[in-house]
Amino acid sequence: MSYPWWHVPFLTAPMLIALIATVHVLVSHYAVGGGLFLAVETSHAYRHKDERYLAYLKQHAWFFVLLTVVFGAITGVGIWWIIGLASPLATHFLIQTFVFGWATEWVFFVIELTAGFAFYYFWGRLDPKTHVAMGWIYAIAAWISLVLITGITAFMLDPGRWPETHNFWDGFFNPQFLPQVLARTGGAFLLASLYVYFHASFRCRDREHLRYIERRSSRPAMLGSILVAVGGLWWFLMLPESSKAALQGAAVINVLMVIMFTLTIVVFALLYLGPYRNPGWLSPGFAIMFLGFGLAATATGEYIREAVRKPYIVYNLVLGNQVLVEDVPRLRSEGFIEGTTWPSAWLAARHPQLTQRDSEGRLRIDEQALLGLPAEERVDIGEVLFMYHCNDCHAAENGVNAMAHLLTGWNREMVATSVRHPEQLKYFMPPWSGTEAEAELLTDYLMQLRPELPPGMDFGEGPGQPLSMLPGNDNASEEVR
Amino acid sequence: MDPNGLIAPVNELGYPAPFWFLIFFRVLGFTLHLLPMNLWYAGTITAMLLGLSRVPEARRFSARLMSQMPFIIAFGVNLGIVPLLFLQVMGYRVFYSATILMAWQWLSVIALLCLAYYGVYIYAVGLRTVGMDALARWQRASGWLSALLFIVIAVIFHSAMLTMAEPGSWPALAEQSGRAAAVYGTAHALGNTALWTRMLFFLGLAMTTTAAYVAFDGAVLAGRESSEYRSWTRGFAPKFYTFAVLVYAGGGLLYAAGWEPGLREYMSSGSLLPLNLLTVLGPGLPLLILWLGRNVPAAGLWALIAQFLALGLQAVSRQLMQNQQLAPYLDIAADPLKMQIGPLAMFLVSFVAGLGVLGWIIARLVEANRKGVVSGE
Ligand code: HEC
Ligand code: HEM
Repeated sequence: MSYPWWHVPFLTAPMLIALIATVHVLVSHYAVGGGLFLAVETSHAYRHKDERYLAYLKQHAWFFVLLTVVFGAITGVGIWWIIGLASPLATHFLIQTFVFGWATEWVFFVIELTAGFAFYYFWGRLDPKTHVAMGWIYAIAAWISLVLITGITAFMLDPGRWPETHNFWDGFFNPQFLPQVLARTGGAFLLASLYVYFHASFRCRDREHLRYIERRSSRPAMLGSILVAVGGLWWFLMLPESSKAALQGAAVINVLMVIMFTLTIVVFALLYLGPYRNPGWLSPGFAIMFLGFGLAATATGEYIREAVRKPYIVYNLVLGNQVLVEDVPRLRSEGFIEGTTWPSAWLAARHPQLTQRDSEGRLRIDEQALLGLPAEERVDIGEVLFMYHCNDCHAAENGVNAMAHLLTGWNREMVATSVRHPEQLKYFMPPWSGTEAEAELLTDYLMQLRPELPPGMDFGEGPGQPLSMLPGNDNASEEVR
Repeated sequence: MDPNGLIAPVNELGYPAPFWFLIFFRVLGFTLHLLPMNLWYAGTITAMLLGLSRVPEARRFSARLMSQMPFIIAFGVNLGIVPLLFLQVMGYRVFYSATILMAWQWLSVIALLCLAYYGVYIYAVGLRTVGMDALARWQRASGWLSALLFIVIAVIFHSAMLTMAEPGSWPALAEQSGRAAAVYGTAHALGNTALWTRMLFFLGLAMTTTAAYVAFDGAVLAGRESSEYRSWTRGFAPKFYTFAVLVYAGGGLLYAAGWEPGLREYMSSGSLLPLNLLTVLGPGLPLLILWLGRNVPAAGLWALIAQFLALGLQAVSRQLMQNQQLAPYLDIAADPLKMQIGPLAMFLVSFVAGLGVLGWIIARLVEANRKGVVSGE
């Protein structure tokens, strides 16, 4: 890793990515689907000279602009901000690889913005044909943005042939690309209708008209949920084996997956029974619940997509702890700290006697001498290793996946083994990428982080005497403490 | 820590396009970002202050600018993305580290911008629905809050850009707010004098842009306003511009006085002197146009064009300066070139096609506006 690690206590920095990304997708899918809704429905209303519907659509367009142009656009920039902070190595990797994909997306973003403003602010001043054309330009540009960004996010799950060819198109048209485009397009249809219900249930006073709006949006919504389900299934089938295993193996993800599919089915059933067959159900309460389900399904899907990538950020290329896969052997032989920019500068400043520059000017660390340092120093260096090697996924004392809690009651031997073989302990952890000496120092740190078993627990030898028969217990950790 | 040891190594993925191409788009993008950004940076607070004036035309300008502000922000933010993208491609060795050191601040830009943006909308919607004189207190307050937030965001941007160009300041920042070679992201550059002189200089520049925009609004956008309004803009703009230039010059002198001697020497060295002199004097041209054009209706248009050129010069000089500041630590032109011809072509083709679509949209809007005028709407 070439950059400083951002230590966010309790949450861990990457969780902030998940938070912002989830909030963003709830609006960005609407930004795509809502554009299509406005284009199609405005055209329909003009054709049938339906002034009442046009008036509603104008109101909706205002809500749409306020939500997507401000919140949607700024949280989108927010994702960019946070990935650079919390996942800088992977971000740089993606930007360097796909910069022109992003630049092209930006072009469509400008078009989207201009057409969207024209559509709303020139309502009534453009002739119907031009007005509808603005709606379509918006919708198409927004959908192309979705496609472009999906190519890049799907790459992270499976880069396809890119690792061999380093070719942009091989990376972009990866095995995950079409399934995700399908699922996201479905999500856009579905969420747009649910936002329409939400908005209309509050703003539309005329019951009969509300029923009309309800029915018109029910078909795209049902189509959307089918696309989500089909795309989701296809997505699952195309997943790399490691992700499939993670999906099935990890209890949380498993449950979330079931929740997501259940929510989608429930939403579909409600759509069919409600708006489609029996329009008139729609009350603000019902609409809020509906939108809540839709948002929950989308957020869960997004979370799963992030979670199943472990131990990678980019499959087979960048590991979850900001280590390039191709660097692992070098780090194991030369040392994690030596190969990591900020920790090596830190160590050189702290223990100049242990470091020297070789003939090429590269910093070399005397690994063996690390072990000769006093206990507190060893723990401090161990903490550095923890921050850069584990803190991506583990908080220290408390919080997300907190290390201390996971290690409660462990003995030194177990900790030492885990540090050396995390990928065998849980295959969704990156492998150890340091030397033997460094593994020892990390073990020192973890041992003093590790709490004893909660008091009062009895395993047959009386409370407070757990595991005393096991060999290796606590002898080593005494000296560290 | 030795700052030289904190610079990220060259990434073998390489630059996807020649160095000149990347830097061209970065500087062009930044120039395009500068114009609207200056308007919300100095313009929001100016508009709020003019809103307190007793002069009806000043209040009219205030209302007009604040009503345009949502669009200015939308496009200005959008245009910020271009330089950011290319900055990340070519400045990754310093950009990520500098922003991570002050991560919470940098991230807060997003939240603050959301607030400022909605604040502007609240104010603008108030103007549209009840008018300036009947604005409720909370609507007024959101206008002021937005003006304040934009200035706070500017401080953060100045901090980030300043820190990025000064790796020498990193070890202290890291120690101030770090643990175990990782950082809490709570560092700040508020104690750095250069931050405040740079800000003063920049604020002055932003005020000049706002002043040129006053004239532009009167000359180009205010077709339906009274002739009193239009002539007020021609009278006010040169005075305001003059004041802004004083802030710009004062800030600039203080800022340059704090530079390392080597940097000052470089910026005024033989080959760069003409360019940098032109940059420093750039605002002179719009100033001249505004003063000489007090009775020329179209002067505002020319003033804004001249302002755009002046901003472009600023963007070029600042890039040269930044490269020079970083030169002791790294050579940003050193990355290997791994051309991505196909994707580059995709971008350029969509860029040109996009311009075509934008042209079409704008032509329709202009046409609609004209019809609106004819039918007296
Ligand atoms: C890519 C993310 C990731 C990284 C990096 C990571 N882990 Fe984990 N680790 C996990 C996950 C997920 C779990 C499962 C937690 C659970 O079961 O609740 C886990 C579990 C563990 C456990 C408990 C295992 C068990 O059987 O209960 C230990 C010990 C552990 N990790 C140690 C480490 C150490 C030490 C490092 C750094 C060298 C590390 N991890 C780095 C994701 C990661
Ligand atoms: C979120 C959208 C924004 C993006 C993507 C963005 C992007 C950028 C970029 C990339 C630069 C540096 C250009 C370079 O050096 O090449 C920059 C500079 C700057 N931006 Fe923005 N910007 C945004 C919003 C804002 C806002 C809301 C403000 C508020 C005033 C602002 C004020 C500034 C200032 C003052 C600078 C110059 C800083 C300096 O050099 O001291 N920007 N912006």
